[in-house]
Amino acid sequence: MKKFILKRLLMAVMILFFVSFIIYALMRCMPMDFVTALAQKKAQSGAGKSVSEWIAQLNAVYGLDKGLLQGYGSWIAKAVTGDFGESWKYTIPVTEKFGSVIWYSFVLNIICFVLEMAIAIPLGILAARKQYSRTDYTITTFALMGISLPSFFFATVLKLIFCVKLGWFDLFGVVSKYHETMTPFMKVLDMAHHYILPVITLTIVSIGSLMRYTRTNMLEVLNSDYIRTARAKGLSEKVVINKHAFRNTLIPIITLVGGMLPGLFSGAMITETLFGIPGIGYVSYQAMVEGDIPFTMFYMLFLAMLTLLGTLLSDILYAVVDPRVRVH
Amino acid sequence: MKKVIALILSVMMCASVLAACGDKDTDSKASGTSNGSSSSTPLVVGYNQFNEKFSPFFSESGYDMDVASMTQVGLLTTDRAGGIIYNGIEGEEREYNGTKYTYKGIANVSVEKGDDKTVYNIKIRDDIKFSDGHVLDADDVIFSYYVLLDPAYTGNSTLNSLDLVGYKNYLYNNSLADTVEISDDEIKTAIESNDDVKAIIADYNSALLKAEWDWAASAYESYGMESQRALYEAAYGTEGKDYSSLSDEELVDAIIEEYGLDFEKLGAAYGADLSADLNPKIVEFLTNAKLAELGGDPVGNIAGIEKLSQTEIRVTTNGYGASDIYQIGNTVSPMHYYGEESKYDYENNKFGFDKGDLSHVESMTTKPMGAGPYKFVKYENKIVYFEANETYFDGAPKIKNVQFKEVEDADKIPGVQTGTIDLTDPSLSLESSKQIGEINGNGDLNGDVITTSLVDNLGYGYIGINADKVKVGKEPNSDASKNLRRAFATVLSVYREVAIDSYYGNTAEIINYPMSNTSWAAPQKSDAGYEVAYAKDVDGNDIYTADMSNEDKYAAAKDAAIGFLKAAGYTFDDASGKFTAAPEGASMTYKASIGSGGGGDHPNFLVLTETSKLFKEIGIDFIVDDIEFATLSELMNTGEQEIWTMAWGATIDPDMYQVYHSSNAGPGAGSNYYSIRDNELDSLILEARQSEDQSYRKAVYKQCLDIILDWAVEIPVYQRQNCIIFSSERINTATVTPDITPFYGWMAEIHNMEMK
Amino acid sequence: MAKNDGYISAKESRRISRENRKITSAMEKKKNRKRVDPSEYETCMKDSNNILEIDDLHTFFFTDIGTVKSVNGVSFEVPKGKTVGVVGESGCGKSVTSLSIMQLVQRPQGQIVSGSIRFDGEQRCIDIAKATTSVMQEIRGKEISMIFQEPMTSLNPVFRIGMQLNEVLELHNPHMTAEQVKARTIEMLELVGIANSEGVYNMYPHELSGGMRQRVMIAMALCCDPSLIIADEPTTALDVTIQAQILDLLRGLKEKINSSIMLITHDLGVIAEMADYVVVMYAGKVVEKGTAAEIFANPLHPYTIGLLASKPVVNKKVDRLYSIPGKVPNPVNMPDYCYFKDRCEMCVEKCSGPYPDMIKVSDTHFVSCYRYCDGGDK
Repeated sequence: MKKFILKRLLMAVMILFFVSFIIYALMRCMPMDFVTALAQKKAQSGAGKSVSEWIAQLNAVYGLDKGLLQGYGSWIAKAVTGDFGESWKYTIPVTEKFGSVIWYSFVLNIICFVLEMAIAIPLGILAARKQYSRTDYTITTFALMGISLPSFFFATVLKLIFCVKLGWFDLFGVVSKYHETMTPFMKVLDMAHHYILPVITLTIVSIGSLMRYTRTNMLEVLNSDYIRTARAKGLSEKVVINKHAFRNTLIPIITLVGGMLPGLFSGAMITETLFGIPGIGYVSYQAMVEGDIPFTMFYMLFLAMLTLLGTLLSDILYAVVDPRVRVH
Repeated sequence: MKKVIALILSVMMCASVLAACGDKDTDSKASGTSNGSSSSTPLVVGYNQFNEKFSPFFSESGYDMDVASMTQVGLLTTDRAGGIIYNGIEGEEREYNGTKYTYKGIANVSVEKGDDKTVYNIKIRDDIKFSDGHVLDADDVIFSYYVLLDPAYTGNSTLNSLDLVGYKNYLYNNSLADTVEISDDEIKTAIESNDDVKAIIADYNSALLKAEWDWAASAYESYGMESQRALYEAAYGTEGKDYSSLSDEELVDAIIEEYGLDFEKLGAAYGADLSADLNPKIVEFLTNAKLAELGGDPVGNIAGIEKLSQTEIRVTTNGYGASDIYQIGNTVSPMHYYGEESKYDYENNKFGFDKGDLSHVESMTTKPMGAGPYKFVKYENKIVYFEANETYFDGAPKIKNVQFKEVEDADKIPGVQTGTIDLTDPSLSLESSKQIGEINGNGDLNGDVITTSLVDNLGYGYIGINADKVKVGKEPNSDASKNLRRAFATVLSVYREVAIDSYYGNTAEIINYPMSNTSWAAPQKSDAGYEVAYAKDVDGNDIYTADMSNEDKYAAAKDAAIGFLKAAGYTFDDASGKFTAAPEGASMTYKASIGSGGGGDHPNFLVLTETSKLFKEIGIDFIVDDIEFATLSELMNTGEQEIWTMAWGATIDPDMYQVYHSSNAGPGAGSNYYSIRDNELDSLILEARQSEDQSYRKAVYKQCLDIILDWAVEIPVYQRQNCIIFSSERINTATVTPDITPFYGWMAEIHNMEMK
Repeated sequence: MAKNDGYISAKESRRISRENRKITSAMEKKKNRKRVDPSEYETCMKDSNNILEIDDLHTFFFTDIGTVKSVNGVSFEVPKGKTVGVVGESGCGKSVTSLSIMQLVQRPQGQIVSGSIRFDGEQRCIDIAKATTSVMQEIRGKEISMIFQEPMTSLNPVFRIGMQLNEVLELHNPHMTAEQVKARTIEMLELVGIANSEGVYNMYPHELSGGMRQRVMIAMALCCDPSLIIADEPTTALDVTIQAQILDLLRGLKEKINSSIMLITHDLGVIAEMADYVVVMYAGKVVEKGTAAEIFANPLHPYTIGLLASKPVVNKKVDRLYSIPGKVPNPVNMPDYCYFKDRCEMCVEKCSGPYPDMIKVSDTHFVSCYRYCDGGDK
């Protein structure tokens, strides 16, 4: 097991290297880059210099006058030491900007993740147990509706009902207007209160697929022989489902969980914008659109690393949960 | 494991339920304690996205500037019509819209117009404090000027375009700089024979061509070319020459060589006059060269800015500009905060920072501080937090806490409705005004939930007629030509109301003079001599009576048009009721261009189409040409437009030189697209420019407007409005700044606002 | 008869579904009652020597193409301590009978429609057909246990062998301590001939071969000393050598334990070796039953005769292997005459009449054929 993990980690480093190079190359090839846009803006405001002069000057400042390989080389040389540079758009160190926005998204994502699991899996199991009954059809229909709903539509409907008509929540924002006057404990609750609607939006939209997946797996498991054996042993239905069937259903689901790790740190841009959450979604989108290379490189690399870790975690968990896969 | 999940779930659910309860508790607590003092209730203002550049020097977006201006105080203030208040210390009373208002500022200014120089004497109060307790004095004023005038300054302020005495010397750091004049001939000679200048041109050209190569990479598809090379060659290559044997780099180098020093040819290919860019560089270079020869001493300060005492400053400019005083009266920022006190020594030409090095100023960009009504606390969670500045000179603000909260456009009106924000600026349209009406329950913009303040937009919409194209014979200002244009103008004017009503509803109004209502020089309905535009027939009689229906009005306009055209020399066939022939130099067909991209989605569209129908009835072909806006702009630059529709953005000063002076008429010459060349108008414009007497200028401008209407080259159509909405439930609307204008916003008297 | 054999129109299918739903929901409602009076399912055995009496059992599957009458009036007994072999072709209803006994038929499609299954339990006699699920859960594994056909998939792949065996013991013997449970499990593993019982105790199912797994299944079935063991084709999925081993094992166990065994198979050789009594089933009905000696020496029903004739004999040379002509009728629309009539070579006139009743030939030998209506051969 240890050798397996070690080998995977080494491979991950190699993959990260290539991934970062590809991303850098893509960003350099983008038609509109940061320097051109900035140069145009600065040239318009006067101070005598023309666009092309500004471009020349700024290229030097931002290191874009070097070729592709050189530019990448200088970036990776600093990145390895942990210095990811300053964000061009936000003019503060990349890690600082990232740190200031990521936690909002992370909290949102992790709550949704937990809720998703807690709701989708039991519902999937229930639907599988009562296949073709009314319960099954109701659950499946709601799941489908959830998947089909566009998040912006659903978010707006929620806002209309709960904020405008009922007035239970603030229309947007992560804090209320009295936030500054609250005790630290109340501040946390205040934020939690503002997170309720975004959490509902994201969860409902993503429950459907997990639920269907669980249901399918559960059906397969319930039709297998060892469940019949378990019943023949005289075990109660509850034990048969929750112990024997569930453990087997969990195997493919657990492997999904590992793949969800990068998702925890990415931003649900639409939901964040609609609810005014200062998360990573909008920030990273703006940075990418404006060609802010340091920020995008760092963020992409971070996500790539998480993806690799996630797949490694999946593989490890798979071995933990399914004894047939273990290598001795 | 399921137990753990269940536990987490239950904890979270309890937490959020508690939060809901908790929120209500603090709500009631806050409102409980604030039964007497509503001052602790924060005012939440909805704003568009901030870029966190909250500096009075370096902010780029309007929203960032608003954040900075909450903390700053201006040296001079303006009244609601944009006029400068000269006696801020004692206060001045001015009338607006029938109400008398008193305006106070931190300084008095007096203007002395000399023959070739203008002197501004400024005296500031001695008891103004910044929010950290420091006293505001002349040093801060001087510091603020020098930052904006520094050669390294790259922000948005245009103070550096003022012709201050001694500024040029300061920039070149040479006492003889302002004696150096580079004539156009000298520029020409230098271009031909001066090697260094040639090098400058060569560098400039090659940098431009290289930049254009990059541009071609992203633009070739939109031009319908197959590749970057194809577009580049087509745009800059020599016609017929084969570049296929060259690599990309060689191609660029080859083309750079082809152009060499010929920036005029390059400019033609590029589509702009490059000398506008190049000349300042050449002038700079030549000036430096001359100065090197002449010698001269280094100059450490700007002669035109003098500190007379701790409370008195004198600014001197070469010549007089009516809008100069607005620049001079900009915000005063604390020198000890944005600059370094150790670096300030007025006597020794040290102004709080090293010349050319604004890094310390820039480092304070995200945290503004000044003598304004509010203190900046922090920017967190997409909210800017402000606290009242108790030492504000016009009285401590009644609302102690203000928040600027970032909001999406779609959420602005519901935000005020639900209480998430209290005040914001949604975009005004028929739909949004209906929405506000529904929320209020009474169908009106003002009600129990939302109060709306309508503010005129800085600008107006119009339809223009090119006198050089729409005339009889060769004289654009003959009576016949004017009558021809008046025919069109009259009919166009009568359809204004129905068109604007259907497009803007009650969020825009018809104006009758080609000037935005926001300007102090705009004729008001209550003024003497105010007339509806183009409402008289060829004999000078009123066409319309008050009780006419719309149909009657159109018929009356038609008759008037027939009268005008007959007077212009058109042949009218009474039997058919149509015109059959045009006089020499005129035509039976005229084209009206509108830039709505083929969709017809433009407020003036209906005006043009209805006019076209009416003229068809009498045999004149009035074609409505719906084209792309970019195409229309290009058309205007060529001077080929006959009749067109556009909108002007207004400036704070109503100077008409750019738009109506004859020197700006003609294709590509300037903004006088009407081609109006009237000697009397020209002299009136120049006269008004020189004076600082508002009432005098207003009268002169009224005369100008009458001449323009007489020429029938412009039909003023609509003045639309923007709006600010307030929560009637939470804001004490009686305390809001009354009579908000584009020059006197709701923030102007924010310190008087109270929450309920 | 259906116009096109096997094809059902949409209207037909909807009608069938509606009827099915009506019937099954009525039955489900009855089954899902919260409180059931024990007197409903408590009964007594007709003959106290029998551990199990199946009396006119009907188990139907209500499918979308019609009602499949898998078990259509099956009656036989399993005496205490004896081995009963149930023979028949694939699809004749043997497995469904065994599942019905365990009440493991997949509801709501499959239902025990009528008949009774009387079981002489430890505390009382109950009618399994009417018993509740909770009653059955007490019986399953403890008093009746089952060995399934597919050893490869019958064990849960994520639990260790030891745990799976411990589970049965713990469930039915709550008073046993953990060590006692483990000891007994190891004992059972050794009983079924697994040499490395400690090692196997800690292994996962995928680490064992098919034969080993079947032994584990047998151990699982024997754990709690059941009074009836149902072995549903225990050797079909194994190769011949292992088959022999397992059969040896079963035979050996038969002597050691005093449970009855109901052995379901389609292999007559196995029956000959193991069974005391033989029940021959065809198309959901019992066509002949008797002692093993009677059936093998004197098969009466044409089907039984055909079956015995089909078995290839070693050292006998034949040109063609004999097989019973025709095929099993469609279980959805069974005719109301003798099911075997279309394939029978020995039909008589009476065969066109209704389905023949069980005719007693001797005390233990019964046959359902018109040929023996008046006694003796024809």
